Amino acid sequence: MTCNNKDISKHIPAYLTQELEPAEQRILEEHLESCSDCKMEVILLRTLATENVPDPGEAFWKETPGIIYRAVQREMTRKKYFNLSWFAGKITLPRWVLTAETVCGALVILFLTILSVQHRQDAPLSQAYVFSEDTMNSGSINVTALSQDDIETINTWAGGELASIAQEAEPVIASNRDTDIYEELASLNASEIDALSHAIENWEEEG
Amino acid sequence: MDEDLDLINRTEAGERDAFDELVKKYQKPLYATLYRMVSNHEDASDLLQKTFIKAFTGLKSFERRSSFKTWLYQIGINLAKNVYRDRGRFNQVSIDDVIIRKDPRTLDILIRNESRLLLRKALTGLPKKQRLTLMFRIQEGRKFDEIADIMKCSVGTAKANYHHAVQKLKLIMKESFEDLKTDDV
Repeated sequence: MTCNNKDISKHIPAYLTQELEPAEQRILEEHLESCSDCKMEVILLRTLATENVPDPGEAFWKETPGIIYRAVQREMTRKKYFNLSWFAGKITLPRWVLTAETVCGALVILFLTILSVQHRQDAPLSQAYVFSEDTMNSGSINVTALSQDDIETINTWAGGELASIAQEAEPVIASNRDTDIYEELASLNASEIDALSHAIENWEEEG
Repeated sequence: MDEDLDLINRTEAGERDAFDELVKKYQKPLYATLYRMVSNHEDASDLLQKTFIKAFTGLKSFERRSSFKTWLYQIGINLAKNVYRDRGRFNQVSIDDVIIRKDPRTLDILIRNESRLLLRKALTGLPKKQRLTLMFRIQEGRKFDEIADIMKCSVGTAKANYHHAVQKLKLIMKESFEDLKTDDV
């Protein structure tokens, strides 16, 4: 039979945790002796209250703060980056603006690339090259306009240049001195002799 | 100043000791609550970590007017509810688990365990809010105003939930005992 004495039953949780005043406790216990419904409630709730939660162990409690701390640090770092993207996401612009931005960006990059290539082409050349270009573009020299000093300078320069060429050519000339011209001619075949005589004739005609 | 608020302020200022102290203060009771809700260590410890992480990363949203403890429990219970929703069950106890835990040495223990099994089954049959209210009131000894804060309802609603839970539990248990008697006959 269900007990309708709410004044009594509302004290049952406090009775289980022993928080009732002695007088209240005595009244409740007297009621429990005669009321099977409240008695069952006390038994049920006491059973519930004593449902133990298994202790995961001291090691678990010890390491938990550290695990949580590291996880919080990671989450805060992630959140910081996320916040930036969140901010970017909050900027609401029409699609045509984003397209225009992209095209402008591409054009700027293209312009800078072309500018960079042109700059490389216009870059000052080395001193030796400039000298050579100047020399090439200077046109023909009027020898009669040269002074005696100029001629002497050119002569000295040319003497030096030719001496070095002669020095380089000396081994080749020396090796060619050993060859006999008659032996060379004798080794020619008929067609080669014809070609040679034809060339000599032409040379003689041309003077 | 409230001790928790002092610890929170120090944690926000980057004091690791204050952080550890806050976790150590609440990890055991919070774990017990979460364990009672999900009935296994893996989910309970996972929820414990998630609760603290969510709390510490969202400290700016914590209104200093309310209690940190209540706020922490609200986060934990909401996360546990998600586990419940994902599983489609709440603290469901398999019969095999109970049989393994049984100590068959004496008939008394057997009967007691049988009662516990019935009680656990009866609990799973209660609506979520009623079950949570019962758990907070009986298993954790919380006052109704505290339960109302955590459950975000009025004190009257918390009391009503508790009353309905107890009545329903008694009814289920009576029916179960009746069935047992019939089976014995």
